[in-house]
Amino acid sequence: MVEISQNEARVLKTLIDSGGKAPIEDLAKKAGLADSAVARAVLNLSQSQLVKEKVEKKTELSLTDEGRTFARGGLPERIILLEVKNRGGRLSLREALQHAKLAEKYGSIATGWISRKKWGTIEKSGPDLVIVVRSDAPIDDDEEILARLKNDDLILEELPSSLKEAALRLTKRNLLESRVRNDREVEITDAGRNMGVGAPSQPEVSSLTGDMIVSGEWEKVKLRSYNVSSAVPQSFPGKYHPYLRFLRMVKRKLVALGFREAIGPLVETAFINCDCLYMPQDHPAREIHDLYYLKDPSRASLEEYGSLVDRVAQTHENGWKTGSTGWRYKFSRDEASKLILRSHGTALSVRTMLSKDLQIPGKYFAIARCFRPDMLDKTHLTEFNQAEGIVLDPSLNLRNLLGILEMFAKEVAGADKVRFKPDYFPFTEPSVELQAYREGFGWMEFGGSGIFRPEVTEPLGVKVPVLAWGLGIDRLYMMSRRIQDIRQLFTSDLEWIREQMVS
Amino acid sequence: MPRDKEDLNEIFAFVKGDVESLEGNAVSIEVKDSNRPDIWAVEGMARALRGYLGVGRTKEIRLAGRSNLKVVIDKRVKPIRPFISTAIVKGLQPTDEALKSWINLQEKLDQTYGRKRRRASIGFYQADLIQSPLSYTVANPDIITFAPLGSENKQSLRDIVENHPKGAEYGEIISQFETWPILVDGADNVLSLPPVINSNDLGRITTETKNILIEVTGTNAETVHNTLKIVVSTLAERGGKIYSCLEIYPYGSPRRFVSPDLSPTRAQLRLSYINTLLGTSLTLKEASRLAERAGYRVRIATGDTIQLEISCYRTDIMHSVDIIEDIAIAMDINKLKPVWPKIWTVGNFAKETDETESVGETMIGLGFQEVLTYALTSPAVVSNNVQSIDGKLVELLNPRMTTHTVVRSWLLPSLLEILSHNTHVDYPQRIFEIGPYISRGENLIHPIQESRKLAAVTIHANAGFTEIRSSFDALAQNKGRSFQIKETEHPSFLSGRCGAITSDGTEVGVIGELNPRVIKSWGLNLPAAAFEMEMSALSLT
Repeated sequence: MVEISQNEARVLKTLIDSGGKAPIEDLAKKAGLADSAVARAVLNLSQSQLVKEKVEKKTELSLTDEGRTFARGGLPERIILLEVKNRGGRLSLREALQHAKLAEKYGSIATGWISRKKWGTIEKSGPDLVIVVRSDAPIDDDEEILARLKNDDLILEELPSSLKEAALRLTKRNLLESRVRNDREVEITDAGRNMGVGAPSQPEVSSLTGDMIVSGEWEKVKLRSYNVSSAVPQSFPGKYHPYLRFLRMVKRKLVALGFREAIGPLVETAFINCDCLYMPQDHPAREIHDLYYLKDPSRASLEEYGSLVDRVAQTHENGWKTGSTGWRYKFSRDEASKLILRSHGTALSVRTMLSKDLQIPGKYFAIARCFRPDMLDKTHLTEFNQAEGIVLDPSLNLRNLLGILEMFAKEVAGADKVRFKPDYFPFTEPSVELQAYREGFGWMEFGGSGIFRPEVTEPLGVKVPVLAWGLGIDRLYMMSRRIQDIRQLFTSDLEWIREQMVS
Repeated sequence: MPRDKEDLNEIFAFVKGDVESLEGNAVSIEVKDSNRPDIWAVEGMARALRGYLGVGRTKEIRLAGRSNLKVVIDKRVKPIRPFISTAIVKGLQPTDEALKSWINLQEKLDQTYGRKRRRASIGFYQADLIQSPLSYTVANPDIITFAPLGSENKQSLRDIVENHPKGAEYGEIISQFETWPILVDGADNVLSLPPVINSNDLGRITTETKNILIEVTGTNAETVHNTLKIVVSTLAERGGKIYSCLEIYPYGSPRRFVSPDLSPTRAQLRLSYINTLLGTSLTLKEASRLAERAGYRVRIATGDTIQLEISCYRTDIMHSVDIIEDIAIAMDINKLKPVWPKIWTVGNFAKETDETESVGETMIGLGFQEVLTYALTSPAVVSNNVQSIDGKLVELLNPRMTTHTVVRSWLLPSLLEILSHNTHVDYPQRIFEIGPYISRGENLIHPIQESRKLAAVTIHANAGFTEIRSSFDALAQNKGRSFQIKETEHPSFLSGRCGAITSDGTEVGVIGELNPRVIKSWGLNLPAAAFEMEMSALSLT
């Protein structure tokens, strides 16, 4: 059995009362409901086949100006007929027109119709026409139509067939005009009639209230059933940004592997970002094309680093006590004191090694926002994130570095297999590139790594091997979300964000 | 030689090269090692690969003899470009490909190792046309003339710097000086205007040139000498014989310098260090053999010590670790078994990550969407179209885009910028971000203050103070913090509907309905309310 709502029941009842068929507007009026409520009810009812919606063509008839004149004073043939009758049943047309005060042009019209309607005969007498009337002529269909139209418009389709003909005749005589409209009508089906008859007489309740629950009234009333399969307005929950969610996932995996998270500033000195990493001061990566410098303030005091500055300077100049030849140039403290935006996560590893809380053995990581003076395009961001970190212990060696890389590839990137390639960084030796293979994605470069050079660790006072690594997480994210354009990482497209799965 | 890209990649991995393209007989390689100029030409790369692939031993690069060429250095070049180093390579039969390779090498060395010719630059000349002694001196840029490469006409030095394409590129290295460095031969013919351009007559080498004079000038003696070694050893790979020249300096020491110095450097490696660093258990013999494959000559290997010689062109070797990496590469690092380090450590999130997580969780619970915006932006954005920001922002010296010229000092404008891109998206829109911002510090030791803020905005037909205040209160309460909201004026907010968020009398943020002028300026047309505050104020410690 189909459940119907209160409104729907009302519409059915009204339909039955209106003879099983009614235009929507009439229904609304009669049922005392809003047009839209009736329209919705009718839609549901017709889906349940309780009503049928019909579209009907309606031809509205109304009087023209001329028609209105004749409706008031009679048709020309009637006026002339009366004149002839009153004057003995025989009169010339000219005289009849004169007496009736009708214009000349109506002469032929009147005689034409008197003859066609068989109200009298027309005889020729010299140049004149003579009208002869023998009997009374009753009111005919044409006059009936005109009379009715005096008060109201008529619908052609609703007229009996004789009047229909008359209306068409009058239309041809330009006394009537017609306008066609399409009327939507609702007709009740047999099923609807049964349902309407049995519909509950007490009103349905659409919302369940707290009072009804407490009083138990909800059991007595009829609660309206909903169409649970129909669509409702969309909701948009607050969510984590998809890229930040991904970065959190990476962090969780690294923490699970025993890494401690480090953080650090976006604005660094060239000293921490470059010099402590044994990048010579005229290294191309320190040029303005590769490193953002601050305009004002442009420099920071290196005072807080104390004698570290001397050790780093000497390491650059002659290797200090590291066993290195050094870069053999004159180190500039001014260059070192320049303020820059962090260009790589490795700057944070320097801070970690400098920290008084440094633990050995230790495993550290950071997801660091970094900056490079690139124009934004499909493959470049001027701001991006690097995941990087270090592992410190006296026992560490190159095979441990490979072991860490292998673990990252499998745990973080879900790789099926890995391979290694020799790589180059100014601050690590040996240096290794990690390539990860994932079914369906192929080989991808997933990280750069190495063992920090003694020129890096020894001036910082770190006397154990330090394995340093960085992971290409942006590329991994783009692969997993099938993103082609790297600018999508920082997307401001709320529609896209709302569409993203929370996984 | 394999024809497959993957197999070639494996081979070029020995020299840290990636196969970029493979077309017919031509392989294009990207060399990642920016510190090994000796393999930046096909000759040097082939030399390195021969060793790794075991297809021949590395030949020692030797001097064939002394040439008669002398170079006399004028003390007036000292403040401009003090060093010069020359050599002659004879008996060459250069093919077109060889010439192309050498010109490419010259260009790469000039650009990278020579730091765009500032530190060192190279010139090639037809040795047979040049008469000793060369004079490395200075000249008045308006008087001396010569025909630069690519031109038949003699021009003054200044005309060359101003009009020749190379002048435009490198002229600024010398143009600040009153007199410019010039290299002239014994017959007073100009060889070049270092580091800008060579003479068209003497400095153009062709497939007919059997004997080439190479000259390197620069500001760093070691770079100058090393560059010469790399060039002559590359030419020697094509069968050239290297002859030295004599430079006579009026300054520095030694005053008389025979170039190039091709003698190898000696180094001593400890086997135990190799094995400790690599995690291997190589024997002395194995380690020695690997070192040989990597191009080193082992002199003596005994006990824990390997004594070896490093070829003169290996200018990158600074420390034993550089040699040990070569040994690892010779062994093929993929043959090393990866071992997860057996050390016990406790993993942990940074305090800031935990804070971001708990604040983020609450904001999301309140229906706000997390967003991510750039820390770099423009003064126009930071001003929020209504505020004055003169002299308060931290500006970049070398911005690349007009939209990214400053580091932001607050987050709200970035959020409004996001909303401005989403006016076609269903409302209500509620977004928040937790992110970094910076401001100026007080002194040189702390020239920059850097911290993190939380900003949140709600925008829809009924957005207003009550809603945002209610969200803020819920956040504060769930973080166990209490704040006082005091009436305040703020150019971005509506007067009378804006409050300062304070904690124990300290202002830590702002909350209110956005000024309609601001809303409109962002192309938005609905009421909006927002708050922004220090993240540190939300943490208990």
